[in-house]
Amino acid sequence: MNWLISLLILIFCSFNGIASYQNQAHFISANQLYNAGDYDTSLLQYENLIEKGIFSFELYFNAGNAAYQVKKIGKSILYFEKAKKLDPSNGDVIHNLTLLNKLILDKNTAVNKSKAYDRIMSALSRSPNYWSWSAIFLSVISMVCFVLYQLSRSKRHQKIGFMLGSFSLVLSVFVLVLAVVQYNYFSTINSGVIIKPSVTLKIAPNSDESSAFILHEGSKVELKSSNEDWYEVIYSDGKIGWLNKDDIREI
Amino acid sequence: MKWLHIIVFVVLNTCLFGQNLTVKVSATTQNPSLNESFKLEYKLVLDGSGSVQINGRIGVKKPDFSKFKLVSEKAGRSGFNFGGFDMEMALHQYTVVLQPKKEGKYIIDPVSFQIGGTEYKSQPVTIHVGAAPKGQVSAPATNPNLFGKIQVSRSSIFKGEHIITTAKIYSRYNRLSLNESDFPMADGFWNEEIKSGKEGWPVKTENVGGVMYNVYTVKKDLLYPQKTGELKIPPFSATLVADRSFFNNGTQIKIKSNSPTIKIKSIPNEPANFSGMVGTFSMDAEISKTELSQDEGVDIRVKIKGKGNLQQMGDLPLTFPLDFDTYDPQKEEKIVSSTSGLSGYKTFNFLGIPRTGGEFNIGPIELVYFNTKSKQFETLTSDVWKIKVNKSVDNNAVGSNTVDQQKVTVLSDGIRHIRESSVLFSKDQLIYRSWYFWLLYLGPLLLVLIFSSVNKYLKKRPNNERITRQKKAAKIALSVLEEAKSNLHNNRMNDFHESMLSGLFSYLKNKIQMELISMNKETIQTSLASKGAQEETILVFISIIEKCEISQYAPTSELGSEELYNSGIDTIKKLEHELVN
Repeated sequence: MNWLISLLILIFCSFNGIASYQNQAHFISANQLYNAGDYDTSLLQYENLIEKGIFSFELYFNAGNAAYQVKKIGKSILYFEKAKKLDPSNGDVIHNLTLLNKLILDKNTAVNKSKAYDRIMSALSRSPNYWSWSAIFLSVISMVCFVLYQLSRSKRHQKIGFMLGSFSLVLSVFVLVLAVVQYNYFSTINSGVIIKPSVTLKIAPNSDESSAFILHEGSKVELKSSNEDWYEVIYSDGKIGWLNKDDIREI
Repeated sequence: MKWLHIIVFVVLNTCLFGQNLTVKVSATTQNPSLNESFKLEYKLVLDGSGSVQINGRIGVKKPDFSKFKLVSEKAGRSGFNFGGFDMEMALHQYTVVLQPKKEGKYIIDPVSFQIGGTEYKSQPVTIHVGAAPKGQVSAPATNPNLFGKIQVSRSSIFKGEHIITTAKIYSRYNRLSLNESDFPMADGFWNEEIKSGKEGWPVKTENVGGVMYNVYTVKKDLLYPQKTGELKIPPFSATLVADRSFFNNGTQIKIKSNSPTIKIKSIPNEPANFSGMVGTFSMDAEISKTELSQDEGVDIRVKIKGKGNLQQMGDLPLTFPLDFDTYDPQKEEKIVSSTSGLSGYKTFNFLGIPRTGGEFNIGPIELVYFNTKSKQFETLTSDVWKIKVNKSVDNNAVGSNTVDQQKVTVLSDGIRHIRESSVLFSKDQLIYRSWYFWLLYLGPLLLVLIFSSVNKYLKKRPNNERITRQKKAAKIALSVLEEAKSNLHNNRMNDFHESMLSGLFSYLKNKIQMELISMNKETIQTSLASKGAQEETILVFISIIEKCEISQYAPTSELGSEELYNSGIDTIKKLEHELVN
């Protein structure tokens, strides 16, 4: 089975060049390290990939697992949240997150968002380029139909060609919108995870200001606004405070 | 002897100018109070020893004394002045007694002495005129032989500075004993009595208004004002018995002292975080350790020492990070009071216990005080301590029951295992927003637009050709018939008929788009009729075609051929008229 997967990956990678193949190899070797129990090194390898701008649901999911095994709860939650962002309705990631949220110090009062939204996002985020390619494909289909419509002599063929062409044109615009939505969903950062053991949030973006409240490693906050060094964040119970950008990692 | 005089004169002059002449100023006081007169003495002095003879007059240039009342002045040559072991020779002297008119700070310009053309200038003198002391000047006592007096070291101070009050009893009696006394506490002051020591305060004699008094110091107090404004020091009262002896019961006299007023000013430009402390201080601060484990305590010891109102010092503003358990600091102090104010130290011992791991910054501790030496606000600042708290290995120390809950869940369920394979993406692999994505998406649509417009153009062009060919149909046909005519003249009859036919057919083809294959009698007839040709002309046209076809196989006369040719031309011309469209 393994060789088949490797072969498939190899075939896929031949489209994406050597660099991509190396990334795949790193991912596989990190998985092997994880399975052998060398969690530290495997986390390091996953993180290397992530830092290079590589992403996938599985990469984030595995990195979250590795971080959990070395008791880095903050990082583990961060990576699971990143994975969840790519596939919000995935049962495994939800399970792991629920587990981890019991380990953090701050009581999480967050209410899960509507499931329908999660499912739509899951459906949308099949693969990052899926909708982009679909839009291109439909655009080509509509072109073919319109050309046939113009070349055809028979009235009936003309009618079919025109209808199919218009339909795929409308569909391709719709899919383009989906691609835009998906891209924006990926590229907008609206929440983060505390990675320092204990962070004192301030009432204004200045370390001399008085303290608002304390959050501990692993707590998820929504980002409201930011300036050069500070984020204004909302915790799940509605508390608002400012914290240094070093104290948090964006999901 | 005259020559000797000249020599002496020259020598003396060289002497004079070789030595330093300076003007020395002395004042009886530089801080007189209002209406208190003071004396200024200006002396032109020769440094070092030797005698000098001055030839010529010494002039004195006086500054403007108009801000003061001139009481008296005196200028003149003075003799030798033996002051201590220093022999000082004043060549000239100017003395002036002045009385201030108004409070404030005055600078009296230098006085200069002029000898010949040379001018010797004194230093300018700064005079601070204070308020007229209210009961401090020798009080008009009810009993001129016995009265009490409170003397204050200063009558105008900044808040935080100290004054020393001295309660004195002035007496002209030989024997005096104190029966009872009452020293009320001064309101608005922090009060500390200065101990006199074993021997008590010494008895002195003092001249008040020309009368000698025995002066007994009863009590000395160190006072620190607690507020600004004008504060009164309450008078003390005492009952004394004078001239008591074995034979005499003496006279009992009650006295009440004056009540001086102290003006307390707030220090100008006081910063918001001013601690209220005035004096000269220093700070020592140290931390017990900078790396510790969770739930272990860390001590910070701060020692403030120096001179000033130490006793007024409140708490030090040290805040630990919020994740620390903190306690009130342990304080320790040692303060000694003396006539120069308070001095000593205060220590604060802070204890903090971190409840979580991490890196924290503690401090700095800042204390803003007014330095009486430099006359400005200064800040004592401690270090910022960076401490590292190691998370304790035992998570139970956090003491939350959710951890137990987690253990159960892990045992029963556990974290879901990793995924073995994945399709990895690189962020720069996202095609959306890349130029070729839009090219690939919009390209086909653009191609469709280009294609359809090209297609339209292509369809339009044959139409045009048809129309021009339609227009030129007669012309083409006639040119072919012209060929037929030349064949006729050359007696090539077969060729004649053939070119006649091709001329007529080409006309039909071009004019009404009939294909050669589909041409026969009936189709020609219907096609021409539908395009609006006359029945008669059609028949003639068909008969011409028929004749030509027949004549191709059966030779005919030349004459008939000529007619055939002419009628062919006529018919085409007629059709050209009739086939409008």
